[in-house]
Amino acid sequence: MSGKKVKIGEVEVNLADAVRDPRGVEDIAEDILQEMGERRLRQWDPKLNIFAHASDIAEWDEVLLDKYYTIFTSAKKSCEGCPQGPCDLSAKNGLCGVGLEAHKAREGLQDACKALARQLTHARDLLDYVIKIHGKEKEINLGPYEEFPMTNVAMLCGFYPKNLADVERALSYAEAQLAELLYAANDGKESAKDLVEKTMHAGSLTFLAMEVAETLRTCIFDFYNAGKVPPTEYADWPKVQTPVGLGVVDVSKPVICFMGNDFLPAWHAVRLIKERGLEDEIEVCGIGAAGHDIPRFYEKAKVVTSAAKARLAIRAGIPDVVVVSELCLPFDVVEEARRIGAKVIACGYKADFEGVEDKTELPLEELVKYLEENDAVQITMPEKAGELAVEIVKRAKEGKTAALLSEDEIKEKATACKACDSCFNACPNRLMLSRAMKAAREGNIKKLSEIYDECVFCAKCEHVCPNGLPILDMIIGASAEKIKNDKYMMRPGRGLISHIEWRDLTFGFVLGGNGPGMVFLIGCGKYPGAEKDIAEMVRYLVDRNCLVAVAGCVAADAAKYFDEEERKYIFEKYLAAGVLRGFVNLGGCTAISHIPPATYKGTMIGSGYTPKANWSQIVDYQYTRLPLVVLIWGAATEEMFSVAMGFARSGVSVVIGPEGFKFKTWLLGDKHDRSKWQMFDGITGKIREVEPCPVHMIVPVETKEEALTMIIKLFHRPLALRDPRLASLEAYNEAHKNFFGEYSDDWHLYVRSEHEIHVMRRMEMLRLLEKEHGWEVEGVRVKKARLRDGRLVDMGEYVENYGIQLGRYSTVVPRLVIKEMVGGAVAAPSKEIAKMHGTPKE
Amino acid sequence: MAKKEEDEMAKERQRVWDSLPKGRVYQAPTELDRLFEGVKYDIGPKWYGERIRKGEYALEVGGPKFNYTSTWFIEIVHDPDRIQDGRIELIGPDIPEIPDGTSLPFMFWIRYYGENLEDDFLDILTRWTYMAVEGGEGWMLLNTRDTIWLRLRKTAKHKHDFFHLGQAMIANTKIMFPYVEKGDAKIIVGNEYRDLIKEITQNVCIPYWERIDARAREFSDEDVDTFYGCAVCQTFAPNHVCVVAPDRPPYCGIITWIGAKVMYELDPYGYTFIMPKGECLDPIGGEYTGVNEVVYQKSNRSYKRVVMYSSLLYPQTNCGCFEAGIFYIPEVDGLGMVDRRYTGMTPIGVTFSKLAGFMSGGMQNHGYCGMSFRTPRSRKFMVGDGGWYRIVWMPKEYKQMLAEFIPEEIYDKIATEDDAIDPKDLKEFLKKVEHPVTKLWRNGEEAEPLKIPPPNGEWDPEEEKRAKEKARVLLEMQGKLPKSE
Amino acid sequence: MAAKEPLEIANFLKEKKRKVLVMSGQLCEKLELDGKPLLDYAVELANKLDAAVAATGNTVNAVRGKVKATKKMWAAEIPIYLKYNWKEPFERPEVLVLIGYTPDAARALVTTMSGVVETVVLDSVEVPEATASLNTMTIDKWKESLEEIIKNLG
Repeated sequence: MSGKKVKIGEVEVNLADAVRDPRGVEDIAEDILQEMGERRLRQWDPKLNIFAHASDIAEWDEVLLDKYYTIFTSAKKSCEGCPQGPCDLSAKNGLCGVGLEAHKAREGLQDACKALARQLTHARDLLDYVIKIHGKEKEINLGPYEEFPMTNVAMLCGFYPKNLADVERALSYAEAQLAELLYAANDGKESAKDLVEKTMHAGSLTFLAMEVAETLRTCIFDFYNAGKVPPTEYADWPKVQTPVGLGVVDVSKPVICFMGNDFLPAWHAVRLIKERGLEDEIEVCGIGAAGHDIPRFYEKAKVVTSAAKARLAIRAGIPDVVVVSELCLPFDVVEEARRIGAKVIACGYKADFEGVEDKTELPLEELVKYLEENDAVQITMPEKAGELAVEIVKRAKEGKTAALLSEDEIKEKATACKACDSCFNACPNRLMLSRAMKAAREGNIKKLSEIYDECVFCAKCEHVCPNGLPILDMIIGASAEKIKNDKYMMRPGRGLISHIEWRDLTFGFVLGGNGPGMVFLIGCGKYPGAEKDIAEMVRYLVDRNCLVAVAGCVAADAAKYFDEEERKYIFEKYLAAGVLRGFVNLGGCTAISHIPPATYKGTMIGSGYTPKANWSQIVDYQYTRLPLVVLIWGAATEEMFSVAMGFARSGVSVVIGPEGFKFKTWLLGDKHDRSKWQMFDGITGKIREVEPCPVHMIVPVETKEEALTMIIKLFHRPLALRDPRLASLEAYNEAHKNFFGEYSDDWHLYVRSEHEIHVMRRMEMLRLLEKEHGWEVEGVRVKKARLRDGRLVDMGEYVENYGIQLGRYSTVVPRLVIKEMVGGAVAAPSKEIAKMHGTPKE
Repeated sequence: MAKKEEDEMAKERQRVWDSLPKGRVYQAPTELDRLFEGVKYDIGPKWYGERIRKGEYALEVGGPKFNYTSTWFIEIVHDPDRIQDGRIELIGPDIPEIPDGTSLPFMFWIRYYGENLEDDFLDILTRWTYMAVEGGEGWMLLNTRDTIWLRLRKTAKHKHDFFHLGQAMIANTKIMFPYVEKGDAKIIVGNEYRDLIKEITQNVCIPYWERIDARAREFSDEDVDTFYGCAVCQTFAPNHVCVVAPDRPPYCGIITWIGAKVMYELDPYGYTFIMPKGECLDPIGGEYTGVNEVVYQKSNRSYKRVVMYSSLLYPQTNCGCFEAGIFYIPEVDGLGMVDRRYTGMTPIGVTFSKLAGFMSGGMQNHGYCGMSFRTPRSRKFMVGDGGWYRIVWMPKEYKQMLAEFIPEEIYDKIATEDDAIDPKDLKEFLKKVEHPVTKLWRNGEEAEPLKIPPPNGEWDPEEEKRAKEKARVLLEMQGKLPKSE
Repeated sequence: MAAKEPLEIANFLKEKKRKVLVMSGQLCEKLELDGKPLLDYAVELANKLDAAVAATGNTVNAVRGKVKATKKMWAAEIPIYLKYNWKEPFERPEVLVLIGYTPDAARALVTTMSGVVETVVLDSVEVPEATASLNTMTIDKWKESLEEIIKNLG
């Protein structure tokens, strides 16, 4: 073991004390210690998670899992994970020793690994492609306005990548980690808790993989990137220029529709289209991830819909050619395209579909011919796929057969419905299709059209229908007008949130309390209720001075609001800067990787801590101080599960829409259990009772009203200062009262002074504190408050015993209690002063 | 100003108040629990910063259309009998009666009485009164006092009338600032009152503001026995303590000495605390025994001394949210300043962001100090280091922003990024322009830098003497040396 | 097997006078069984059982005033709070009747509560993880079943 010692100023650090195994990473460790500097090394012992295995971050993970219950939702009681199985785990452990809880935890880890694998292979494909063209020495430069490039990598690996070789080093690390996690997911014998830690680790690694893919997009392919644009322009940048919706595509022109995670075929197609001057002749549009990537390099691109609703876009007859790469929500693209006579080009090694042949080796002319005769072809090279799409699209248009079902056809088909309600029982949104079919039979297709608003086009109904009804086609046919009018405008993704924006946000959220918090909205479509709910939630939050940043498919649906009075689309209505009342689009799915760095920047700006392999310190800071919440609305995919676990590990609470009840794991706190809500006074190390906040880390909710209220509740943080406390309490009370007609049963737990109660409601709330909670109030002041143990005490004692005194450095990580009071003792303080300020630690 | 003169002015204000044209009167509830009764719009931080554009407003009062001849006047009345609590009088049309898209001149005249209200609290009263509009649903507020400009959003019009607006202003102030016992208001709206408003502004408001502003300007560390401390930032910068004195605003720029005083009285369990000055150890640099003692306690015994107006000798610690920073450049024995909007390089080879990371965290970094945008406006700005004559480098935009506070004779001698960034070039530049710091150099050629102790370290007594001597030389050149020295 | 006939369910709920709490989920507001909101069934059920309603989602607004006691609650939180003695406004249940949850949500909820409390899911989809649930059935049959349970409660 390395006995190497590093001297930073007067402090000597033994590398082996700071890093579990410093061999091979001494240079990185030394660089980090230098950056931390003498004064911080005197305050805390460093603990660096360079190229972290899950257990290197156990210090933090255990803090988290001690506070929050892991609730496993899987109902499985037996394990078939190995040839010895199946083992019934309901009464005792399996043959390998694994227990029921651990088995359930393994299921969660499997989900997270699936997501991680998808993101890693995408990042690897892209990185290999880029290295082939540019070589490994190619510099990574995110621009002059990004001072912390690739922070997800830095948090896990300990360095900021400077070139592609560095990026590859990080990615290889993540790939090896995946192998290790997969081992645990299938063969793991560890405790449920360890497995949950590994699931969170998979989440953190998912951010890393996404970050690699996203960084290459911005650095190599010149996607819109806020790092290269002066912050003074962010207010209206990028412009609201991208049409979005099913009605925005001009279907009289040849239409190429790109789907999937890989934007490269589109990138090459657009290059050709521009070279040949075809911008006004060919419609380039995207669905899902591709839909959000293309507008970041091609301003004429159009976004049709989210990945979840891809089926709808095809059945509505929009594309003439579908170029599909790996899909996040798999479905049978070839079969769907065949229904409308569109051609499919499956691009990449992972775009394998049954019956679709790989013809990459054919010259272009022959490929064109091949595709004229066949429905689909697989091409592994993006250049070729892009070129073929441009070549074939005009001819493909001529061969297309698409037509929506007419009203008469719908009525006719509806007669086949036997009202068995298999569809209703299979429908995730519980839409009453048999009732709509009955109405259609009786001549009224309006009910089917009403179904359209809430249908997520998952096709489960068709799948289970014993009579083989084309239910989706019937819904779509009944909604032709709605489809035509589905026209909005959005702002393409901008990439990162800059540390410069955080300098102002610090005042807005952390000191001034002018805004209750920052919400990151992500999701894949497939919402409960209507699409328009998303825009409503955005408006509710932004109108309350939150900053809302959106990433992934959900951006296209968040765009679905037009303010009639202001004559503005939602993206035009709000500032695009990362400020209070801002509404920022970060980009497609890989842009989710900007979210953790956006939160770390708040921490780094506030504290000056290094994010390099310094997990506990960075996350302790933001978890206890910053009002950051992620909302996942829509499909509970493995990706969303994985990133949710990753966010929780980064100290950011996650609220998930109704599908989240399906997540394999929830992380819930118990507000009644006072032993869970404690912190260390950072100076004395004394344990202090604090408010139950953030009360949950991953929590499913049923409605958008619940989502909004929970988000606001989760803004509360134990180290928030007066004004931010007021802002979050005000918003919480307002939301709870407005949405549910009553105040919550826990709002008083967040009150530490009358100064934290909204001015207009102050007297009302003070009276409630008097009547319902037995506090004593005098005028506009609280005279005596009740501690959680029931004692009624004066305010001085209350503040001494509950919550952290405003401005006191505190932590949930024992190591981060200040170890050494720097500076020697001088003459004892005068008695008056000692009395006034209490006796400090000796 | 003499007490008698002040009484005369108060009488004159009362006379003008009484002589205003009669309007409609509304009596707002005055019991604590009913203060906001009937107010239909919401007030809170979430409504701050609304922008209402042309075409979106129902009503615009004040602003450029009337060459800013509108006024929001807040007055502290010391005679309780002069105020009928909760009385709101409207002279002119009410909001529902005004057609959409109208622009009118106006005046709000709000008066407060409270046994403990001092004239020095005007700023605080103003903040809480303004909040009813600035943080009021549907309102846009720009500027203050006699340049005031408000707009009311069309969609919120149905929630508003002037009577309840006046009620909300007084209610808001009473809740936020319980020193206020009574409040009344007159609201004047309409083109026909334009001259009247102008006249009142000239004869009543401006003299009132001038008197209070002059008091605030003259008010200095020497006028008080107690400073205030703030430790709010210890949450992320352990051991950090801010000293708030009349001449020394904290570098977050959020509170003033008066603000800290009131905050301490109203919110004793908040984050401000008192610091009796004690004995003055250094009248130039600003070092006091009382401050040192409290700082020692409140910094968890991390450091023992603070020289309030120095960035070299025992400067105040830094949290993380300063708006600008000052740093020692040993090669030229001078100080550089940089603000957070400047993203380029500084002569010490780091950007503001890096510097901020380095300076923050609550350690005493001799040679570095955080600042608010207000810090350089203090008459005592870095006098412990020689004041403005010690400043050798600033980003161009920052320098322009502070132009009126920089002594004229030194303005062109302070280098910007256009003149030099590298210390070598900076040195040549300073020589060329004969910057005063060159007087500290050996033969005016070579700087003899100070030996700066490590963070939280102590100065070598000889070196401390040298540092003070250098400051003395520069202050002498500026004629700023206190007579006692 | 969890699937039971309506009469069995009614008897199960009646027997031993167990403390029953009805949980009303968001679908109570969304679904109407031929003109009658699902929520009305939840309310009738609660009143017949003299039970309170833990109203999740937004249902508290519609339930308030119609049953002996109700409160806004959060579905996901109920499993972790079951270990406490509840006082206000109602007691901790021995049996939870879930109505108005998607089958996925109901399955997750009853799974997380298994062993702590008995659960009855009154959806048109069988939830095997519950102590008792209805069979998977048509909407018409569902409506009849709910009516039958209510009728047989006394």
